Amino acid sequence: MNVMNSKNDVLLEVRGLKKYFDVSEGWFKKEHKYLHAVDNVNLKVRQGETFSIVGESGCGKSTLANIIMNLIEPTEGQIIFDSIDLLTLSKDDLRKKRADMQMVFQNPFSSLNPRMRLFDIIAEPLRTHRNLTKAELSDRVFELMNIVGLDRAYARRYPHEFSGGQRQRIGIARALALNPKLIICDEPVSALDVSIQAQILNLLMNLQKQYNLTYIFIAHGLAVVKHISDTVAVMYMGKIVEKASKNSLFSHQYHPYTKGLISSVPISNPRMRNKPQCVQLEGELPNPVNPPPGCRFHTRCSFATDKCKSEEPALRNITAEHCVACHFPI
Amino acid sequence: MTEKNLLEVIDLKVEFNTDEGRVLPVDGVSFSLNDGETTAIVGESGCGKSLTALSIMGLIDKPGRIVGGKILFEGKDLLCLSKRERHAMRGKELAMIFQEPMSSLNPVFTVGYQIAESILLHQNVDQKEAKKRSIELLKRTGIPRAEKVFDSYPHSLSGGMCQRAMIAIALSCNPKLLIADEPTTALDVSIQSQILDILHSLAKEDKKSILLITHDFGVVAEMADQVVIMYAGQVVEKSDVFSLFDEPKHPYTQGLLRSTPKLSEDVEVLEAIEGIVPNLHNLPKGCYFYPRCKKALPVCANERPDMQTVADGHEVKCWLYYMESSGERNE
Ligand SMILES: Nc1ncnc2c1ncn2[C@@H]1O[C@H](COP(=O)(O)OP(=O)(O)OP(=O)(O)O)[C@@H](O)[C@H]1O
Ligand SMILES: Nc1ncnc2c1ncn2[C@@H]1O[C@H](COP(=O)(O)OP(=O)(O)OP(=O)(O)O)[C@@H](O)[C@H]1O
Ligand SMILES: [Mg+2]
Ligand SMILES: [Mg+2]
Repeated sequence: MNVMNSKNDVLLEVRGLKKYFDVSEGWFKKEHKYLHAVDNVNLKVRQGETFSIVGESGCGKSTLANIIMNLIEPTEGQIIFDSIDLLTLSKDDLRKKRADMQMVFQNPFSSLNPRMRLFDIIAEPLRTHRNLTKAELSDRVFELMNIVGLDRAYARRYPHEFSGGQRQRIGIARALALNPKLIICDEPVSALDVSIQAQILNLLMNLQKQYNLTYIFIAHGLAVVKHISDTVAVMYMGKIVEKASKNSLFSHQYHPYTKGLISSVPISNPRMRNKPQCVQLEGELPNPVNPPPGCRFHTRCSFATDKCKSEEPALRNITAEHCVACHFPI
Repeated sequence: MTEKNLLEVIDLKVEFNTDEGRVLPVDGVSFSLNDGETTAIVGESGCGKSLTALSIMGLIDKPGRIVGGKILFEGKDLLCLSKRERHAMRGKELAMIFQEPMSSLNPVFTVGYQIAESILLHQNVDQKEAKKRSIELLKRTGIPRAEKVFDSYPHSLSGGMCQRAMIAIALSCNPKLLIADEPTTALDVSIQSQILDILHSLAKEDKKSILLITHDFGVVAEMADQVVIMYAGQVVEKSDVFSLFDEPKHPYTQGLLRSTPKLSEDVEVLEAIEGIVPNLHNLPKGCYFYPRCKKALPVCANERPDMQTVADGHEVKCWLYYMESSGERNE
């Protein structure tokens, strides 16, 4: 029997993870060009927590998620899940282990097969990974539909007959089918209206409590992240620039980028209009194929010095639960 | 503040004839926009925000059709104008920017060409002057190296840059009313806040009148003077921005505000609005929000409420407030 893991046990550890996409142009690829989508990422996700990854579009969030899910191969690095180094497993063992990790995608429409009925969409992972009788299978599918709040009368419908929020419920039911330990949610609520977004966030949080699930939650809505997370990592151009417990991160940001991200969130009440803004993020992301030398953020940073232009800052601890990659943390 | 109505939409109805029958995705929408102010239209996907904006611009296409109402612009009913007169107004008096900046620019022409063309079309200037003005406009929208961007094609620019270029085109003829349909929804927060700053300075410094469409209450809190809340094709609440946030009246508005997570406050559990938006082909018999409403009264199931004035400049379409206004409430 498995001993129940406590919240401090590490379920997933990622070490030195890199993904360089070959983006060389031309026929003979005279000049090799690489896009450093994920560049030396280290992180530990504890059993039962929600670990969020935030950052602007293109910073490498989905690439990181897809590497962890084994959907793309890393250029370098280790993924240790449940004490096993995934990249050393045989294909067959990996397939079995992968059932413990599932993913929920941003676009609930394109991630569901349009020609399959709801019942079969949820049954598919059970059919591939479990040997169930017909009766057991349908019991489990209806149980899952019930858990995520889908009426069993919908079982024979196709994805296009559902609203965005319902499709996201289908995606969650499917992800839950094999009792995974880890669910990676890649922008699960970004495409949804606020009223539906709240329904799905509440569902995810309830399921986590009930089934002791661990989440990696990818988002760019910072208010959503603040609501759902235990730990937050901020990515910028393939690197983690700040990482902390939720409370520590939202009460103090050491990295000017994180500070800028948080102050770009619109105010929540018009009475806050005259509040001065501390750090405004200027400019846009530089070209990821030729990232700036030194600290990658220095081109947009109002505190940058010569050191920042030449020397890359390492991720270091400021307190036990807060680390930052910046030469001059604020 | 000048309290003159620049735009007044009265009982606007837009009909769509679909295979499943006729629907009214815009069903009796009324609101007004004061000169120099920003009015925000807020509501969830499919509630008719874009169709309302397109009606004002005169851009409703088949199978859609305006079947009722008036759109008064400086007192003139736009729906009585000829096609030609409407065309002449677009760009000159009314301009619109869209949610998808990439797809609303023409990929075949440089950004500069598209701005200059719009200037040449509406203003009596030569090529050289048009180019000069285009570059000024690009700078006005915060584009660094505007000369370079002038000669760029849209595909080589980021979403944020394209949206700035769209704003430059919209401003090129100094329109009296700028309609912005979810101008920041497709952009990152950092870029969103830069674009909002531009719109904000247009509103406050240049005193531009803006009709802003959004589903984000954060954008409303930053930008709006007046707010119009829509649900299933109808306006359910109208108010100035401060009373709306201080005292939202409609259970739908209250639900939307409570279900939005906020950086400035922590809640254990978000208060979600249960259920989903009704299908236009199968609308509830009574109040359209009734099936999802936590405060519903028996009357709500069968009869539709009318707009009630609950405070100065604050109106709501909800049975809860009939009792108050007809009964004991003393002002
Ligand atoms: N298959 C690929 N080939 C080349 N470049 C890629 C590939 N996949 C992703 N990239 C690039 O890698 C970078 C990171 O992309 P990724 O999709 O991980 O970003 P993201 O943080 O998930 O962004 P978003 O918020 O837009 O989803 C981007 O610059 C992207 O263009
Ligand atoms: N060409 C069309 N044919 C049939 N129905 C349409 C058409 N265009 C829009 N509709 C319907 O009209 C309703 C209102 O659409 P509209 O685009 O105004 O919504 P919206 O409030 O702008 O939503 P969103 O936030 O998603 O942009 C929707 O239910 C939509 O399905
Ligand atoms: Mg992504
Ligand atoms: Mg729209």
